Amino acid sequence: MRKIYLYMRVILVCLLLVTVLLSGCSSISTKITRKVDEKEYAKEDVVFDSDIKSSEEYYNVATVGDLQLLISGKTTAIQVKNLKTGFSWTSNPENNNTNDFVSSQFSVVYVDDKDKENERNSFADSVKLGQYSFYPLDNGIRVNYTVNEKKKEYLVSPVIGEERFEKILSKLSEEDKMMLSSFYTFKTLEGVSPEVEAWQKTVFPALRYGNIYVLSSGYSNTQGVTASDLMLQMIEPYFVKAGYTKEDLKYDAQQNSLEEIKNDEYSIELSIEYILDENGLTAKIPQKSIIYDESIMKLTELTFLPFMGAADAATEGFLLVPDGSGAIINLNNGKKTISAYEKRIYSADNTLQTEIQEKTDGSQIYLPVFGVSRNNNAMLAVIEQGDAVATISADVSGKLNDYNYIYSSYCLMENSIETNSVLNQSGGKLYQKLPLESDIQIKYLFTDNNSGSYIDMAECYRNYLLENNKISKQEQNTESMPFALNTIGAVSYTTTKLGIPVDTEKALTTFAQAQSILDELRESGIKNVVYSYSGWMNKGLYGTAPYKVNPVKALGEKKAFNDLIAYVNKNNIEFFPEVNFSYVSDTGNGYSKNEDTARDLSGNLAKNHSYNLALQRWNEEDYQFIVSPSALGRMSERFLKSYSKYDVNGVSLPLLSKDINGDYSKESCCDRQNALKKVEKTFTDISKSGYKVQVDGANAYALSKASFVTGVPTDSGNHYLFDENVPFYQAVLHGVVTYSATPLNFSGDFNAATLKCIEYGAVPYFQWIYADNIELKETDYNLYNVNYKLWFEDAVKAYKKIDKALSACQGATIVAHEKVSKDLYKTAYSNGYSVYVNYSDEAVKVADKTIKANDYIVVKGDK
Amino acid sequence: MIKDLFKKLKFSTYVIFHPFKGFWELKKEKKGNYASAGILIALLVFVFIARRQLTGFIFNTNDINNLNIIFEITGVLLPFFLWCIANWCITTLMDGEGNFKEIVLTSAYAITPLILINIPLIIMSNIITINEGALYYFFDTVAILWTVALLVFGLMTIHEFTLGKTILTALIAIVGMVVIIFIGLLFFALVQQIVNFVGIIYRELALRYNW
Repeated sequence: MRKIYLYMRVILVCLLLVTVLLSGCSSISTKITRKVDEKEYAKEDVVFDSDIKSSEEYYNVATVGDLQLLISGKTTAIQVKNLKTGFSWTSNPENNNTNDFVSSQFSVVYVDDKDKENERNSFADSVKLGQYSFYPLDNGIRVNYTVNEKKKEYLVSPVIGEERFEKILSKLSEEDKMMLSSFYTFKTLEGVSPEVEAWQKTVFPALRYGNIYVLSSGYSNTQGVTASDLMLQMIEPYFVKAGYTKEDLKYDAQQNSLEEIKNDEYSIELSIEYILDENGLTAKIPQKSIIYDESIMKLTELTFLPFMGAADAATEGFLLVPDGSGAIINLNNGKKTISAYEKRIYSADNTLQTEIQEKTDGSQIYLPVFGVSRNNNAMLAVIEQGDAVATISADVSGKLNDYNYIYSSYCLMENSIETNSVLNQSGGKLYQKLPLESDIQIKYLFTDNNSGSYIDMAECYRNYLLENNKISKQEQNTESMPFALNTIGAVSYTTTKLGIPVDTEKALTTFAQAQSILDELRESGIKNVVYSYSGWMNKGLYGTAPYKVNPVKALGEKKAFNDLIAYVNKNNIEFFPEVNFSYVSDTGNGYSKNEDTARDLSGNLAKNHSYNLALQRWNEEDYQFIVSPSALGRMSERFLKSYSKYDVNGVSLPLLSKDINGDYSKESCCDRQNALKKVEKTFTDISKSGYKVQVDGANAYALSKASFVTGVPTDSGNHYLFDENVPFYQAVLHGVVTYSATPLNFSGDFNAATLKCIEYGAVPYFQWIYADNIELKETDYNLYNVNYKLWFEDAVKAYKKIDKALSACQGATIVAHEKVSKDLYKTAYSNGYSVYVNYSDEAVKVADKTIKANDYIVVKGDK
Repeated sequence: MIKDLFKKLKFSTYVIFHPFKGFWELKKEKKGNYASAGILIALLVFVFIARRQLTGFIFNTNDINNLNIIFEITGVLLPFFLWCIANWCITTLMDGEGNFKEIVLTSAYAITPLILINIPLIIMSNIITINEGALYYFFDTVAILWTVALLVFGLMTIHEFTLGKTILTALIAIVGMVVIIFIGLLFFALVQQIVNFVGIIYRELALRYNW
């Protein structure tokens, strides 16, 4: 019996060893290598380079229109000068000599092979060491940096033969002799036992040839010199005094057959390209220019031009943060005890969500822009590439340094912590397999007029979007305002059939009921309805993948749906049935769980869990699968084929326009920036097939094809650093694309929300169901204020109020927005109308007119 | 055939009033079989579900929208058969005369009062007030005590035990049930642990060597 066990053990151990060895081999053969066109970024232009470096002043790189790009050869800081106004924007504050980070053009975070995070910045670790060069480009310049942590070599030999050591000692004074020899231990093979001798020989091969001196506990044959820098610093002077040279060091190393231990060089090369055009400056870090040894380190984070336009304590102005509708931080607002602002653009990647989630303020950054206004000059930064992995940070002066600044940083490699580990109880970090496959590019736009307000910035951004076809101007109906409506068709819930629980759909608004709601709206005088219909297909609100379109049976026969379509077409109602390409609750209808679902960093299927507010963690069992961006193409293609059977010309894509999720599987790895490109392509495909697209939220990439935007926030995340919420998003869109606010029936204060719509130029928006609110009990939808009957009268009143105020301004752009006094706001439009909104409970007098409490007035021709 | 079955079922009403004679005849004269016992158990399942769903809300603490019939069925069958198995195991060791079939039949016939009393109780619970609840709970308790008494007398008869020995074996059988459940759970837990462990080892290797 015993023998059998023994054999089994031996076999098991052998098997394990074989697998480990095999896998070890395979890991070497599959090591990731990235092709880099090194030539392009290694090009040198010595004359140009030395020209710039030798000039004391800023060197003039290019002049285009009114703008001039200058660069400092000493610090590599850049300056953009407006020749008309004489105002300059600099990448780093001048006269700073205390903080290296403030003088940097970028900083990086990397993880070394010991899993330690290190931060380096361009000034301290590249410019100060003289490791940079310039190369000319058309209307611009490329700056190549090598960020390097050089390990210092000390003139100290850890092992020296007896003779040579005594020779060194003989050149020193008595005192120094004593000191130096105290650091070394004498090793000899004389008079030791054979075992000790054998062991000593393996550690110090030099012992074979004679006696040696060894730096006490400062050397091992596996790790090389282990003595601390401090110790080596102390010893080095004695060697120098004895006239010891580098050649001697080499000779001793050879003589004593010291293993040359490779010192890992954590060096990073990267280039920044600045190119100037009439509109502004493009700053770019090409992905191919980032070079480092991938076998020993991972570059995880990059902060780009952190102090571009930073303002010192004497400057007046504000920082524009694109959080929600937009918010401003006044320069030097004195909020020194509040933590800095930091938020991921387009919110967090749901593929990487963790069980315990950080509390969020529920607000999202939809537009990849940020701005600085200094003494009535405004600069707006638009992140053109890398926006999906970017985080915006802002802070005011008096905390880490004396400047107010706002910047973007980029996550080049996502990571997550793997806790289910047998071998390593504390858990290890997992990293994205391949680094970000996109360049990082920011466009800096400069407004050249006068005020430097956030409305100017919005105008600047709107023009930029229009020029680059990132937004398309929609026809505006100036007769009456649209009324945006969303109804929920069916929602999944669990019921029991013969005592056996089954998942089924509950009808909340059938096709016929939807028609009757629309009818009632028409009867009460609302002619212009923009209607989106959620949960009408494929098992309702939390349903199956849209590979095939099947209207939910519980809502009526197919004919009833076609009747609804006929009704909306007849009455000129813009109809946007909603489709969900992002999440799948029910795996059926052609959805392949393993192929179509994204995967997280440890290779598990990615799930979007619902969040439990009380426990502040996810609900383990309540989740939807996250569709991989790689599956989007085939999904939308097959959807369009099936969808073409219906006579509709619109589609609503709220989730696709709000969330982008990466896929980190090994086979089809798709970082978030790639995911963004695939989402953009889906929008293009759908719009090319002739459908109008309604988006919700909506992230910047979704705007290019949008014909209507619902749910544009009228609020920011209200971070304590903010001084004021502003309608930046609205000012960008107004007059180009019609937008609505978030559903008014979800607002805390209905009247205030209605007034906010008037102030922000937004269309009223409601989300309704036909069924009673009680029907929602025990279903997967849990907002209980959506019954249309309870809201109908208020909605019509609110619509009429907003329509009266804003219908004339529909095609106009917002030209000014200001806080006249506390609770009194003014919005001015390009057609000469101004709208004053009074939020206070008392009447206010403005321009000879009185605004009642909680009311508004429209003034024509007011300046 | 059906007539015979009906007769065997009807015999249960005789048994509950004449336990010693009835159970003796059940054993010796084969006045019951697996079919009739099965029907009695099915009736109990049915009555329990009806009781869960239809008892007046004053006396009903269950969420009637949340019925899972599988749980209800296993909730009756599992303890019943556990009891039979445990009792058979113990009485075989302690020189009981009854075999497994007789234990099943006896236990099945012994639950007749639970079936018969609960049906009128369900109706009554929808009529009476909470102040009259004592009546409801009284009959509820009577049904249980009657069944327990029948079980004891029945087992005493078929095993030819004394009363003391019957009660002793019954108590040991209950302990036996607990032991069976314990071993079952232990088994499942262990298998689950092993599966988990293998899974984690695979995962660890996969992540470490980039499979």
